[in-house]
Amino acid sequence: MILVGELALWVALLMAAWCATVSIAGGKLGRADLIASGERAAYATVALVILASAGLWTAILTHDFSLKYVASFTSANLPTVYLIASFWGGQSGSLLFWTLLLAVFTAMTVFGNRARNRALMPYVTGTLGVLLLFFLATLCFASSPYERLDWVPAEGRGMNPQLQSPGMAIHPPNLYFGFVATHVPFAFVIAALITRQLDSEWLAAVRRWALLSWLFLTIGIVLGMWWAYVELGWGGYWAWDPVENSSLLPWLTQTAFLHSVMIHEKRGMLRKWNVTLVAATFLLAILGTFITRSGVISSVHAFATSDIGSWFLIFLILGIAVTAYLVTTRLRDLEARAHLESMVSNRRRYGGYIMHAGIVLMFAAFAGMAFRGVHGDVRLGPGETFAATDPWGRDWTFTNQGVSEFAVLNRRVTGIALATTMDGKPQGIISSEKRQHVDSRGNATFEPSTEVGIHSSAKQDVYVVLAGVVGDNTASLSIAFNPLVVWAWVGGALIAIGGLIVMWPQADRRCAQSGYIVRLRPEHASLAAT
Amino acid sequence: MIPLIIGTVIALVAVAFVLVPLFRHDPLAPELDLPGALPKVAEEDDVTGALREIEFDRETGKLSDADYAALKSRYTGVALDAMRAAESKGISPDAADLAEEAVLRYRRRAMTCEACGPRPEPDALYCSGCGRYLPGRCSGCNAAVSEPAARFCPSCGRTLAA
Repeated sequence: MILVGELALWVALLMAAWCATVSIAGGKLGRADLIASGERAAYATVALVILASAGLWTAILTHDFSLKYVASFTSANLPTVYLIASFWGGQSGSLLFWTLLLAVFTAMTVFGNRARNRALMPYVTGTLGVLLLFFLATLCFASSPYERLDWVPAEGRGMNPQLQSPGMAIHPPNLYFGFVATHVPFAFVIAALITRQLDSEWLAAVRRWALLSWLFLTIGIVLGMWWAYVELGWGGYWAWDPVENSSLLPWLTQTAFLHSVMIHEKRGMLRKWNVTLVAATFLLAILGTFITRSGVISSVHAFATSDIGSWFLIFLILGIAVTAYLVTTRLRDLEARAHLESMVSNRRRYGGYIMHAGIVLMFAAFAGMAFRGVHGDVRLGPGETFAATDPWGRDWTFTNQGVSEFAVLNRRVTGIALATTMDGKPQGIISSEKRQHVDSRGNATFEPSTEVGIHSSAKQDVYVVLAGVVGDNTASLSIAFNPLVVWAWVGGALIAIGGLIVMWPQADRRCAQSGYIVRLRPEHASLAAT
Repeated sequence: MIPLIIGTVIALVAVAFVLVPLFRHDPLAPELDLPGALPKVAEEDDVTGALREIEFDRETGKLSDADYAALKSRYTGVALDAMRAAESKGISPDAADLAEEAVLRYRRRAMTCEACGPRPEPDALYCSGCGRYLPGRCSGCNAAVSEPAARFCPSCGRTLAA
């Protein structure tokens, strides 16, 4: 299965090259047979990439440490959910995951448009084929997940403990979903620019993809914030880390596009702007990947760096050059035209309201963090109590219940339990852990990581980080009161719900009009009034 | 050895699947559209809706005066085109006149309530909207009642209004 997967990757490369070539040639020459062949190549590519992914998953789940990727990012004692997630935990695996999503989206686009947008589709398929070709070439020539080691280690290095969090198992796939979904609108823009069919057809085709991408980017970013908050022990959820910023940039342009697309649809205005925004979103997604992969900037996301940065840089420059050429040669076609479209449906409007309410909640939560109160380096021996007042003026006490040490799954844990009271009323136990991950032979792997203790309520989170144990039993702690944090997550959930409402497929039918339509000429108008 | 054979078979199947359309005319092969199909003719209703909307957007500050003026002149152009197109191809004037006359005939027959306007029921005695007595005859003594919204019959005193 593993070897079959490896071979499938190479055949997929061939198929993507064929798909790109014959689709564009078919569009230029107007030959339906070439276009059909290109579309079949897109289907073949997705089947082969699925096979290649299945091969890697098999290698990971069967602990085939002869593969460098499996040995580098997993270990025999890693829980199964993280084994599955390790597919996107490292460099080449995450590239394969990206390619898998892109191949699936390409096939979905080709299938969904088999009877629509036929004039655009050869170039859409062709552009997506070129993108697939790039990622598959990177996988085959620069960063193969199937690269083998000269010898077979008895145990793998294991997964970075910071990545061993439920948020981590779903945060990267969400972001990848969002990033990869920007490729489809980009392909439509390129196709619309090549064919000069810049009316609203391409917009209708890309709006749902853009929204899907935006929704997943948003969920991915919010999950990343949540992961940073509960796992990294920063105390906050956003640190303006370069990689965070690079995920925020395409989110901003995508947000702008989702707003300006309405003006384009309703008024035929902002065409240049929309074309630029779609292309910019895609290019920024690639830039973000380049930043994460190349290691040019140090970041908490430096899990997956390697030397494929140069591949992405060249790809990025080519993408900018092609887009700039197409836009500048078609400026006249991008002028606003008189054009009328139907009004926005109510369903979209209400979904939009919910999303905006979610944004407002999130910003309220961000503002709350301005009032946070932090008490660093609190030292508590067994039975000792620390007292503090929160930003709402309530008095808290934290009593050390003792430090404990135990082993669980693939880690050794040092934990502390604090009994808490607020204004004299008991609030339960908050516990925080320091975790030392070990491999299956008990040897320590990676640096120790922190598990934050959080007591959450509508008004604030009490946030406890165990920095370490001093001497025998004295815990060194950081205790913070973070106002309104929970509303950031509620806001994120509202955005997701609003997005689903907007995206929910709607039967495309129009209500029959009842009544009659009368044309009144001026001489009859007076008659009618009598 | 076996994986190699499987891989080769998969590659051959993929190549065959992709090349088939080149060697036979595939009845399912997607046909190309004619680019630049007939542009959609704007309906007058769409144009008036759009004009009303830009008016609203200007009042709520979403549209600058310059954009409003540009859009208004453009939409007015579209509206004129649409009207001309409708004149040249659309409903024949005779048919439109016939429809108008039918509607006018229908409306003339209908009763009119002072408060609610023309009633849809041609033989109504009371307004189905507000319950007012519509001018006509008293249902008791058949005397003519000319006063709109009269509550009692001037001849027999019967209650007219609900």
